[in-house]
Amino acid sequence: MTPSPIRRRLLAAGALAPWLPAWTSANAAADPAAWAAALRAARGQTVYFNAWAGSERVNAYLQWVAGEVATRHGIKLEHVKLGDTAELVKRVRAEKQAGRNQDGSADMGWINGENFLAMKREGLLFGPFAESLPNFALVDVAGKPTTRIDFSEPVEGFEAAWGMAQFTFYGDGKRVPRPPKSLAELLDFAKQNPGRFSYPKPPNFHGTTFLKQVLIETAPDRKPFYAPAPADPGSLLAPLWRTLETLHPLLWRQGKQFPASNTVMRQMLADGELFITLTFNPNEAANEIAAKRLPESVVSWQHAGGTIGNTHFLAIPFNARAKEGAQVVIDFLQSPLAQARKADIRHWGDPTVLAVDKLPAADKALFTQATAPGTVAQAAPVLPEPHASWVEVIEREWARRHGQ
Amino acid sequence: MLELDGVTVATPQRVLIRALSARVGPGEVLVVMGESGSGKSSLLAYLCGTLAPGLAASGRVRLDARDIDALPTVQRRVGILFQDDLLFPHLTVLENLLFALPAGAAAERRARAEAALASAGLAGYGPRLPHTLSGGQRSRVSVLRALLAQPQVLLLDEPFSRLDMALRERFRAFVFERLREQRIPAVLVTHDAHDVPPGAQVIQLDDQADPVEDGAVDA
Amino acid sequence: MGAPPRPVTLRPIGRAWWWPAGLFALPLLAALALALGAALDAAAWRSLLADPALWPALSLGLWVGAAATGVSLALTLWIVTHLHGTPAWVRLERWLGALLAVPHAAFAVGLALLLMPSGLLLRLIAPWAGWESPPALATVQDPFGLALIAGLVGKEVPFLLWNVAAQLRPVAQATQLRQQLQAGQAMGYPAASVWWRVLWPQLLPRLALPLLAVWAYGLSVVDMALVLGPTRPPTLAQLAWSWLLDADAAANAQGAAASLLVTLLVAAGALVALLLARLLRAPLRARQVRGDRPATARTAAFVRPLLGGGALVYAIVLALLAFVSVASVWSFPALWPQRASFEAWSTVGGSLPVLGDTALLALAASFTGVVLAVAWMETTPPAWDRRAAPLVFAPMLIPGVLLVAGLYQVALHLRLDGSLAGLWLAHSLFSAPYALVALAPAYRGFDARYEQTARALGRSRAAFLLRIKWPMLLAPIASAAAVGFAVSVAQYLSTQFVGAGRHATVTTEALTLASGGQRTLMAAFALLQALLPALAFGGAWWVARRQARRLGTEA
Repeated sequence: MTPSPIRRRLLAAGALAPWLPAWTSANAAADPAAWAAALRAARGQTVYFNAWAGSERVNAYLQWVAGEVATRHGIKLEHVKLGDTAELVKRVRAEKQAGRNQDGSADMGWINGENFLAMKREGLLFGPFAESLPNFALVDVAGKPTTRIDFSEPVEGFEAAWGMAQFTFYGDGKRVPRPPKSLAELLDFAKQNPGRFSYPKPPNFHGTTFLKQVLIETAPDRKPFYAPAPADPGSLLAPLWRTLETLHPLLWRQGKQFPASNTVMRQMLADGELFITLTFNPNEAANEIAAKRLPESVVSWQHAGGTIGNTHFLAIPFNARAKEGAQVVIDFLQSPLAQARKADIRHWGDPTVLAVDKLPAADKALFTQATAPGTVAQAAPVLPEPHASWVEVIEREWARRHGQ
Repeated sequence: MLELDGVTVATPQRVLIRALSARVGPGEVLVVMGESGSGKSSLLAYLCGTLAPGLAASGRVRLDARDIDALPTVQRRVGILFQDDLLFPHLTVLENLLFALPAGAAAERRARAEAALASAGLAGYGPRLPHTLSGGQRSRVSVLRALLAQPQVLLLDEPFSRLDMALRERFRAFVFERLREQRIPAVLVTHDAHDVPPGAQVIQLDDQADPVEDGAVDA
Repeated sequence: MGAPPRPVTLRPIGRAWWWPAGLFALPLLAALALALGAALDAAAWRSLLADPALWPALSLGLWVGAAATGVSLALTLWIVTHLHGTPAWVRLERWLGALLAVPHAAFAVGLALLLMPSGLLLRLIAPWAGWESPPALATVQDPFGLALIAGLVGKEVPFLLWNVAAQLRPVAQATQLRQQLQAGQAMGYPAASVWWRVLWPQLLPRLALPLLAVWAYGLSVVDMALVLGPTRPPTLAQLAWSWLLDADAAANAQGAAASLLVTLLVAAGALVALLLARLLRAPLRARQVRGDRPATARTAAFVRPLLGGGALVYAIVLALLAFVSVASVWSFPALWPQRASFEAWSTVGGSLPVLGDTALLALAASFTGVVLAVAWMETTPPAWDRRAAPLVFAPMLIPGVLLVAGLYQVALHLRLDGSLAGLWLAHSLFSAPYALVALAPAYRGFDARYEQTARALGRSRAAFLLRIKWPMLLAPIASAAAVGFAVSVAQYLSTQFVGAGRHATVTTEALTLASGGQRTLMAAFALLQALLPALAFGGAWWVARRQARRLGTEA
């Protein structure tokens, strides 16, 4: 860390001072002395990072991180493998209800969206801490507003941005010679190729996001969706249901069955049962091609008008035992080195939250701009996520109309 | 009439019964005696058609002018009684008897079963479960059952050995009387000389083979 | 002979009964109470009953459970009737352990690979049918749940057969069976007839508990349903599972209520079955003693081909799993993969340390489970045996997801969460009932006169147990240990919650990777998951063989 960022941070910290809770010494980086103290306290700690473990690449990346934080900071990072982030939320909630205010089972969690909303609302998170971390200054808050607003809920420092996601479609270029760049084109494609597209059954978040995407593309006015959902949405969701009425008969199994998740859909694409599938990671197709699990003819695209994008975050439960260690690890994960490796398609391919252009030359060089087969040829604008409360409403209404 | 002609039973190691021939007329009893391991139960198994897999046997067996040595058990019309009464424990006494009777009108079958019970001094025992009867009573029921199936020969595998002395006498008399009445030939296997009824043919298996206390033989 | 011997009192060890009871019953009762507490939320029940997804899911779940149980039972009875006593039966008994070792989820994945539209079966037909892309046939996840029923039957028939074999193995049972068969055949009934009219009426009551386990599993299965079952509507158990795993507390409550509903349905089904049995007893009895001697059944000829087919399916499933684990790109309609790679196996190789941890935990849990089962059978007064049976078998009959929620609360309060001790306790609680089911027939069928003899010879009870009874029962004990071992290996929820995710086992690795949907990994891990139970069952089989030779009970 060079002096001038520290001076900038001191000024920023001074501005934030009224909001900095004084009750924890683990709340680092109000000044370099506090951060240094945190680094010292973190040395020798074991940090239990509760993260979804469904992808070997992510798991391998975390193994690399563990090695790095061990050598640099003497921290032992344990990846607690989850099948679903909800497991973390439930565990922390149960611990709070049982009165376990210290020595929680998790020190760090990989969350966003409604999981974050639930944890923040129920007071299950430690913080605010994110904006006090040294590497927060490198985060592209201006160009990527979703790093501070998670599903329309202000983050307020309770979680630290880790990576970017944008709703993307991909399919075999041989079967989809002209990728549909809008909902209307998608419907046309479905008419010509019935039964070759579908979406995961809500409440799977990919399925719900597809519904949100359709809603945003078809709604005359998007503003209501960025405010908390009313108890009775009335006719606000009507455009969505109308579109689905046209779409469902053209879907896989005529919309009578839905795949369980986007990973199942990816497999169906690989087998040839589906022609188009969807994902949140714009580099997912490229990853799969590089791993030899998809043919090289697969291409990715986004709707020209923009697709929903969001950020995924790292948070610390309120009762974490190793709060200092967690913050040090999170700070490392936001560092250019870690972010560059994460964005590298050879390792994970998850887009970075940092403002790459503003980095010093040495750090900027770490971010390779290579386009591999399968990456999105023309990036579309990122549309922010609707308010998290709409998720429940949409899922409930969908279940009512199409759930059985 | 039961005819045995050159029946031989052998294990892989030795011959148990060598070329046994005999004729048993209606109501007559052939007593096969020998120590444990001499193969007497195996002889019965051969006659019944349930010889254990490790044994080899040959020889003609004719029952009422029918060759049965190649027939499956089901078709032989051979009745068998063991040491254990083997009444089906989940069926009542009456149901056990009904099971043995040939098919027919329900009322008639019932009447025959009840008559059999009465003839054995067990009238009214029909609805009872076997485990509520004494050993002697169960033995009697099992004989009744075997006979109600109208076998053409009755094989008895040491059926008296579980009973005490007093009971044995009465039960033996009961069995042999029935056999005479119904003119059914019988083969009785035993190691107790007291079991031999007067006038019965007796075959001693000891002089056919070396007596061996080898439990593996008597299947 | 002299005076008759003094009657030997065989009263159970009164005080010693408390420790297995305590170790098992107290945490279990606490967990049940907590789980019930969560499930008896009035608001949750209101929202559950008002949920339109409930009734379709409930009827589908009932249909799948009933069909799977009925078909499995019918097949089991048919197979045993026509195969018992032949060398084929001995061969079958030998392979049952191996079939049981294949985990449910792994079997489901393999079966799906065979049946799905882009699966092996349809690829074989594709050239004739002229398919370029996988056809739009619902061969898995079909709306009637037929694929799921098939998968369930494939796993439950070996389980039931194994239980029947365990019932028929004690020498006394085997002899009685043989003699009753002889007696019946001597009376003119073909062997199959004797089975249906005489033997099954005696044996079926003893199969009540395994049947209950099969019914409970059929209603509450989730992992097989995820792979083979329909999604719209899903079964009730799947619905409860997705609600319980949601982050939203209200959904959790609804899921708890739904899980309780599943339990109630299990109980109701059992009661209905008992009622039916009682009602049908008299008419069936009359039919059994009717006296007609039927000709040998023609259907008997189908048993061997059917078994052969079943064995073939298992072999194909395992082979497919192995094949797919290296087939990274396998597009329809090719029979061979376009791209092969061993990447999945190198990931598996990285998980090998986890294999050792899993095995150690499973050994500890199965040992404890067997000890609990043995202690239960040795020390329980007969009156308590019947009364406490629902509690003892609760972990087998209550949906795991509900029980784990309660167990987790218990562990939290005892500060055992995240610890190996807590995990060991949870796994033991799940292993013990299965060990009990496996051990009970042999234990109960043990000739009481051995103990009388030992006592008469002046030996203490402990000496009798250690030197006579348990060595004689070594084979059933090894079997029970193998079952408990497999149950522990297959635990996911208890490891993730009670263990706070800190102790990875082969199953948690497999299932968390499964959420990423990578088929090569799923297949490779499925095979890895099958490895440990296979070793356990193989060990039990080897012990059984050695015992059979020593005790002279070899067939």
